[in-house]
Amino acid sequence: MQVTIELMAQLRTALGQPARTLELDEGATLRQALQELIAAHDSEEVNGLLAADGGLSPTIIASLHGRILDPSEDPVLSHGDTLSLFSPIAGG
Amino acid sequence: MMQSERRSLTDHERAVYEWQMWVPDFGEEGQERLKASSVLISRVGGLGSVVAYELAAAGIGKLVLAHAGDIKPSDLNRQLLMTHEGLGTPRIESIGRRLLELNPRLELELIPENLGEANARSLVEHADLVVDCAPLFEERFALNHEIVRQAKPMVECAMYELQCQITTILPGETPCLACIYPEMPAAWKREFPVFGAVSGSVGCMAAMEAIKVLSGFGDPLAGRLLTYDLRDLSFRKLEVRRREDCRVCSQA
Repeated sequence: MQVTIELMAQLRTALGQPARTLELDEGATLRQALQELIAAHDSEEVNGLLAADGGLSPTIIASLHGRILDPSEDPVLSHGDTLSLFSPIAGG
Repeated sequence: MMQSERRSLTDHERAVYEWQMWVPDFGEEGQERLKASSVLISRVGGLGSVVAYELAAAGIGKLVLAHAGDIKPSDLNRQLLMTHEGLGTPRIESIGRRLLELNPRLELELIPENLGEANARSLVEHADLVVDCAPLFEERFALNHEIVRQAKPMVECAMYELQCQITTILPGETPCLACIYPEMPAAWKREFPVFGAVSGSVGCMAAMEAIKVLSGFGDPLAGRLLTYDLRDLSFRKLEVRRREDCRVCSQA
């Protein structure tokens, strides 16, 4: 199945593209999708998507179906899903 | 929704604010509530300059403004209360001067230092509502902790490149900043790409959120995070949930 990872802020700058489509096995979860992304892009920003315990980093905003996910969540993704990842931003 | 006290208007103020008092659910009563209100803006740079300018134009009663340092050339693409003539002079002086040129009735409390854990409590005590425009998450988290403790609303805004985020935190009702970021981001880069038109766009929205909350009209971004990208003008509102184990607001 295909899942689109939409990248915002410094993540977009690090990957040099606004979105990336991943080919995943049916039943793949958010964490597996992020592991695929990390495997394809070795950078500090992308490696920081997952915390030491293997879950979503608590400093990344991830949204799926219009809702911000809790870092403890690991939802099963479906074909055609778009997962949006926002690295932290502030003022200046 | 919270509403501020009211202070009656002079005939001159009725003339100045006539066009916005034509907004049906705002009216003269809303203007009186705005006149009786005070807003703390933490850092008056690219975001905060526009928030302060719009609130001054709209007739807010008092602004409490915290911003350290002198004007640098790299401020001038977005920090619209700074001027070329003021290069090398304290930012807070330029901020005060420019705001009073626009609205000489405005009461100002100018703090030539940035907000932090040491002064957050007293500065928040001086305002009815806070707008967080700070560049460092240490400042943003100090402010978040204090507004939750004092149960004061805060408009939270941020920017990067052509992208912006904004939400309105109503303690006791909505998630707080620590619900969105359970841990303080460590990788934030202090200097980043951005246009002044981008900071100005979210600054205007933040000012309007403050006006709505203080006057008690409209539908603020409570429990929702608006994110948008001016590169393709895509806008979306994301639902934010309150964390039951939030280290800040679950104990308030």
